[in-house]
Amino acid sequence: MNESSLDHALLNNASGASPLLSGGTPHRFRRRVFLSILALSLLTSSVTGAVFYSLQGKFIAADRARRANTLLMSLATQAELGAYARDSALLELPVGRATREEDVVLVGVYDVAGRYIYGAQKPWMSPQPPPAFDLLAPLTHDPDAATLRLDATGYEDLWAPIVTAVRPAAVAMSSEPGESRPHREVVGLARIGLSLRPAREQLAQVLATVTGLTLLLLVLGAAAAALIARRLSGPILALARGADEIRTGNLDVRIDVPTNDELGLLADSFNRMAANLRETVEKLAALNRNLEGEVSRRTDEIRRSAEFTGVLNAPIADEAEGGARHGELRNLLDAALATLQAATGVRAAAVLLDWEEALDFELQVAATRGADPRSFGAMPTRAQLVRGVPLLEGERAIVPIVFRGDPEGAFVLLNDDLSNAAVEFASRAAGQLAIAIANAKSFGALRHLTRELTGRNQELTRQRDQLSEMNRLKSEFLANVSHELRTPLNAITGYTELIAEQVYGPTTAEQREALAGVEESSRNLLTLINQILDLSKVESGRTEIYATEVAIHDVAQSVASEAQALAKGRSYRVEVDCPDRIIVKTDRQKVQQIVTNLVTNAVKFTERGSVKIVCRAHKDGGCTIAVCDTGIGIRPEHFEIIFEEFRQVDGSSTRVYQGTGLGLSIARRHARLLGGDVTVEARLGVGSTFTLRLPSDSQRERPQPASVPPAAPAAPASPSPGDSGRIKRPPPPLPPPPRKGS
Amino acid sequence: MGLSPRRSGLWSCGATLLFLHGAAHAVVPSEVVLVKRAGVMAYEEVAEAFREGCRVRARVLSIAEGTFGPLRFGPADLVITVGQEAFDAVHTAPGHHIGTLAFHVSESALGPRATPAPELILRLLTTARRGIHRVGVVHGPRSAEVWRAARDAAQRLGIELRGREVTDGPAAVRALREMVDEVQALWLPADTDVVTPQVFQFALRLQIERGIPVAAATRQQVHSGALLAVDFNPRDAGRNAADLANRLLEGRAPSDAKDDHLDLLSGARMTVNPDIARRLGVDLPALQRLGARTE
Repeated sequence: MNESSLDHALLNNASGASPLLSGGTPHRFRRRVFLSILALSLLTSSVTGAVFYSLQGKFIAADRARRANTLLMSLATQAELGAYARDSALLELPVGRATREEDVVLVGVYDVAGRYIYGAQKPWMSPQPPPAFDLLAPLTHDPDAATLRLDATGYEDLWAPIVTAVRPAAVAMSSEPGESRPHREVVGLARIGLSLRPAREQLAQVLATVTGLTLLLLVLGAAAAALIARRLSGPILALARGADEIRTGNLDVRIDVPTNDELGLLADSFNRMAANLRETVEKLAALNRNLEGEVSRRTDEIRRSAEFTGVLNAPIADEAEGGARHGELRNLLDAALATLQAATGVRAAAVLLDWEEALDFELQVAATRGADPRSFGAMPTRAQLVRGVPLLEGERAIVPIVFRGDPEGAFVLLNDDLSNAAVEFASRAAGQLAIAIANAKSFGALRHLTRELTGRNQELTRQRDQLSEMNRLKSEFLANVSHELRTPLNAITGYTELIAEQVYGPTTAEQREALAGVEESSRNLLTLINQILDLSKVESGRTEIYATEVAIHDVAQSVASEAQALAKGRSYRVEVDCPDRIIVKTDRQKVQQIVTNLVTNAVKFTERGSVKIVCRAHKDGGCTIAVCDTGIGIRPEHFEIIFEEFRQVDGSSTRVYQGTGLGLSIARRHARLLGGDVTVEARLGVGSTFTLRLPSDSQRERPQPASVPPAAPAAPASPSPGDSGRIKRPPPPLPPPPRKGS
Repeated sequence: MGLSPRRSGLWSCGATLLFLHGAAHAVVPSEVVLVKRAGVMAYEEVAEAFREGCRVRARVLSIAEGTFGPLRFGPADLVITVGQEAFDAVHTAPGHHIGTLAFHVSESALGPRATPAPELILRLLTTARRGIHRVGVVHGPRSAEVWRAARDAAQRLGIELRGREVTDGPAAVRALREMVDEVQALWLPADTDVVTPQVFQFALRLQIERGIPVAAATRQQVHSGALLAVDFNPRDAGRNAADLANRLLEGRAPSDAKDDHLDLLSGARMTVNPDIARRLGVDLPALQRLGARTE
């Protein structure tokens, strides 16, 4: 049985008994090995015999050829003189010697003409005439001619030239030695008939020997094949049976192959493998048992831990303000202790906590179970707990409760025999309890903060409502003031002009001067009121934006034209540097109001030098309108002050330049309503540059107004701030013309 | 001619001066040419000694082995040949010829014979071993004169000389095989027509197998295994050829040289192989006393 058939047999019987185990051992493998080795032996012996026979045949033929040449050359040499002298007496001896050779059947010496000189032959041979001279002719001319082999019946007819050295006459008679240079010439022909029978007999003998050896090798090969097959199949079958036993779970099997060869090593390997498997199975079984116990223990621990965690995760009831401070936590601790005692099986347990959280670490018994508080002994110190390592003192175990490296308290376990498992469980429970305590404390603090925040929010809501009401009242006041003040102011202004125009009779120069002062003050007061109204509208979010396509150049020219009147008496004119192509979508009235305010300020603060409006387009579609002057300039620390309401750089009562302090504030607010801004760059004593930046579309860029409470009713339309009385505004209602006599 | 005994001996041993045409008349050579085969040390020594001794500058013609053919020279040229091949190549051509180190010359040749005296060889053989009184000789047509001189010398020395005239090497081998049982020593004269390397090898085989001493013709053959040989010093032959050429250039008649005689012992060079002598048990000191050198 070879390996595949063995596997096949085992596979076929995987579910049942193997044929090896059942005793039905097939011997096909042994037969196959036997037949293979036998065939190999037969092939080897046959090939060897054939090769040996062939080589022997060649050796015999070569040996016969060498012998023939040797005999022929010997005859030719010995017959040299006889052939030369054509003297049969001189040939008797060499011919007789050659003839005495057993396989030489014919010897002859002939002259170069092919004539017979002398010869001899075996008695049983009939006379053998020489062949035709044409066949021998090549030998008579060439001293170096090869042996001529002619076929004859029963023998090989061999011919060779008999060569002698012929020295020239002069040399022969030379008196000095060493000068002989003879040439060779053929003086006769030597003939030998060599029998083929000895060679044939030798070949037959070789054939018989080879046949015998082949048969002997075949027999030996068969014996060796049987032996090898038995020695191969036996151990293999033993290995197969052993492997089958191992497969079926019998790891105590031992394969006995008492050899030191590879099969023996394989059997030893099988045995070691079985032993290792047995040992491994036993270890696995033990490990499985331990694992089950460990799983059970762990499961129990997890269950108890889950119970403990469930106790800790119970919702903490919201305590009414002023209730028991630690009542809820104490309930938690009681439940936790009950779970801990049940899980660890200790006789008594207690929780020690630093209740007061004072500067000094002082533990108190927060909860006990199974024993009186005094039974738990002395309180541990903070130093003992800070490392978080359980302390075992006889029947007492102190398990620190540490949260983020800070000791919060400890479990104290009392039992006659404290197990490590109980201490370990208490340690894990201490960690969870530390978190729970921290959560409880945080929950309490959070609850306290929530209450405080709620109170503050209520206060803020109340204050906001008050502010809204005040703002509403302010707006209402301003509207009322606007109406109530502007109406009499208009009347005052109108009557003042009428008096100054002497409608009511001639006036003196002093009266006209006084009237001019009244008119100017009235106008300033009207300007102030209008600006306050504008500011109020901006703050209340009631300012509307009407965005249209605005040519900035037109705005600049318009403002400059109006400002020329302000610059009257100055040494300069307001200049404009503005390309025609700058167009943005914005509120033209607001832009013109802002630029007018900036130009008015520039002219006001610039005695000499120049005031210039410079417009530039931006890549994003927006533009800037800069008003540059060479006036008094501004300190850098005043750059923001000037934009605050009612603030001026010179806030003293003796300031040189008059103004309400609202113009720039309103300008910036309007600019930001348009999605832009007003900024300033200035150097004191050198000049200032106020720049209005506008987006390409103010409607799109406009900031969303903050929701404000409803304000007072809108004030009537008023002129733009910064008019300073020089910008046209709706005329106030005139008083009725004086009637004569009234 | 007034040659000193020393010069006369060298002349008789080393050179043969041949005037093939008009030998009896004085001639004035227009050019002196020395013909030799290239690559043979002995021939080079002859040529060097000739150039050192000749009064005129000679033109040396070296011919490679196997390329010899009939050579032609002017009628007034004086040609000195070195070796048998050079002699055979020019001896039929017109002109004045001087041959040296040639063992076989024609009857019309001038001067003394170049072959060592057979008596000297026979005396060496009998001195080498006391019991030798039958010596076998194979000779050919070109060594017939040597054979006759040897036969005369043998008679004077009381030696039985058994000769076989053959025409080629194979016949010489067969002759040696047939006479080997009847002789006590073998003499291989300087005749390349019959004493081929195979004949020489067969003689050496007989010397080893039968213990028969072999007297050869050259010092080289002694080095190859022969017991002894008598030949001539190449430098002596060159100097003798130069003396003859100088006399001819002075206008003297070539026939004057015919009156010169050989001094057998003063011009020949006797060489003995000591190893072979020891193996054959010959009397080496006696040979040395006769002037033989061992090499």
